[in-house]
Amino acid sequence: MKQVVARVLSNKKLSSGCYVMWLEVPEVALMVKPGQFVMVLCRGEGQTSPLLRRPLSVHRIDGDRLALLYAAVGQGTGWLAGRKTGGQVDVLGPLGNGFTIDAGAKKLLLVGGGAMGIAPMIAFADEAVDKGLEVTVLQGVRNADLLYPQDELPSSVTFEAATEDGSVGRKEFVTGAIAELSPDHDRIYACGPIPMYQAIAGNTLILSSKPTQVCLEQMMACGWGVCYGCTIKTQNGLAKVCQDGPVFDINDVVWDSVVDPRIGRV
Amino acid sequence: MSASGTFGYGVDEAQKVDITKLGAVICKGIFLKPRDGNPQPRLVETPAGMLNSIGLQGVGIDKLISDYAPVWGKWDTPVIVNICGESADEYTEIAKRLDEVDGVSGLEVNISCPNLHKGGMEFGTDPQVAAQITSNVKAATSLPVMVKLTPNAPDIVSVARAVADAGADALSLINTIVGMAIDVVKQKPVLPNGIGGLSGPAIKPIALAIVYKVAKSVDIPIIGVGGISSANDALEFILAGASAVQIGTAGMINPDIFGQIVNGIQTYMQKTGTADISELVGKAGLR
Ligand SMILES: Cc1cc2nc3c(=O)[nH]c(=O)nc-3n(C[C@H](O)[C@H](O)[C@H](O)COP(=O)(O)O)c2cc1C
Repeated sequence: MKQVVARVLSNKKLSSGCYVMWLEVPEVALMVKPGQFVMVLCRGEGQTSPLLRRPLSVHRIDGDRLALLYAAVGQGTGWLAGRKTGGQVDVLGPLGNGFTIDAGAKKLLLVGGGAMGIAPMIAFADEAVDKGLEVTVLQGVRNADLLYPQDELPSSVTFEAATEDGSVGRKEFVTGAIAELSPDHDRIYACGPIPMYQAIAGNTLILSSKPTQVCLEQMMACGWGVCYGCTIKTQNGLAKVCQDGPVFDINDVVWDSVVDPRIGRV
Repeated sequence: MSASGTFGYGVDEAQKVDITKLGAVICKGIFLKPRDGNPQPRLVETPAGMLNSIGLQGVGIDKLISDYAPVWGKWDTPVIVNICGESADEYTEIAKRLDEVDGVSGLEVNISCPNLHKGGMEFGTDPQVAAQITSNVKAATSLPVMVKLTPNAPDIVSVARAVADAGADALSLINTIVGMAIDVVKQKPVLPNGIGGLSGPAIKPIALAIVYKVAKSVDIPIIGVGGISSANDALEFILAGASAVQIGTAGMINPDIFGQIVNGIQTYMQKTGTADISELVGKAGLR
């Protein structure tokens, strides 16, 4: 883990409305693995809000550079969206444990729930393709506008979309699409909002079918194991999402102990 | 020093952060038994601050002594153990267990945690109860004992005086301030207990005023804590009467901050021709 000031190489808005920020940060990029994350300070020097760093999955890795995918929805990510090429961003990382690929895996189903859930899956697709594995990326979103641009994916990846309004791909929730696609795959990896995992975990059809790893998010203050803010229950006892995760086997997580970190406000 | 609960037990942390810059590591609050702590959610971000409701998740005294203390014993940086209790006797019991444990250099008595149903803060709001726990702990150990007070006491100066009279070697001021956040969609408090403990820059002026006030009323050293995020903040606490400071929330966010604050204080001392930091302690106080 290093705390470093990274240089912004680019910061562009995608058609999906999300931003991709490329950072030059060898101290992190050369060590980081797909599924790991960084804590990003989203404020200028001397400012106090937003106080806490924002956890962001590593979206792509390229030598000494890495990319982050984020939606400019709040004060912190709004500040990030305002960073220009040549600017500086303070990052802490790499943090947590990434996805693991066991020796028997051949056909991977990578699931991104929502516009942002796709974030770690692109770096992971890059890695899996490099290892010669067959990869399907499934993204579930409300409508076609929120889809990740497919020309950014490695060419050998099969892309599947599930939309709630049927504007593109399958007209269904992402859980339905997982159930349909899982027979053709031997491992499932998912990243998305907590209710999506709870739906998957409640769907015995999916659960019993294939080993599934999920990338969790809980509210974190530190990201490196000191605050105990992100503790959840697992079959192996208490676990810190930041340090013992964020990637867990879906069967290990006690899903009642996990909450949707979004706070309702007007 | 690293503030309790914001630097774990220091052992994993020492692999990630240079602890040689720290005057001491204060470990997470410990009870006799292991504890799960509170359910999620445990954190809420607030303007220039955060609320926590961790509920003192912890490994319990046996594991602390068997797994962590031996590692601390190899360090040059002293470790102070933050001790908690659901009853007055539990503090005494823990103090006895830790006496003469290699690797433990002092105790910080936590009578100020707002996130417990039993114990914690309720012992720190009444001067007599606080004094009783202090003298019990002092009698049970040969280690230096500092007592960490809560700003949620109706009269913190009386508590501070009572604890000092009961034999405390130092005071740490302050623990978190009771606060709350409500989810307007669910129409319920965000945190499971309703309330949590507020920390970070938002509480700094309050902590500073308390240090200033208490420093004029007691003769034992005060360790300032609450929102310190820079050398300037640390110097404010020292000038208000603190002999040392603890960094909590700011260190969780910026683990490199400990060294930066130490360097900043040294630079200030050079600029102002201060030979010894003790010259600054309480200098802003009207005497
Ligand atoms: C996540 C968290 C956990 C804490 N746990 C403890 C604890 O176990 N014992 C204790 O005495 N204080 C605990 N505190 C209080 C801090 O030690 C400190 O008094 C308080 O946060 C104010 O300082 P700060 O603004 O620098 O964080 C905790 C604070 C936070 C934020």
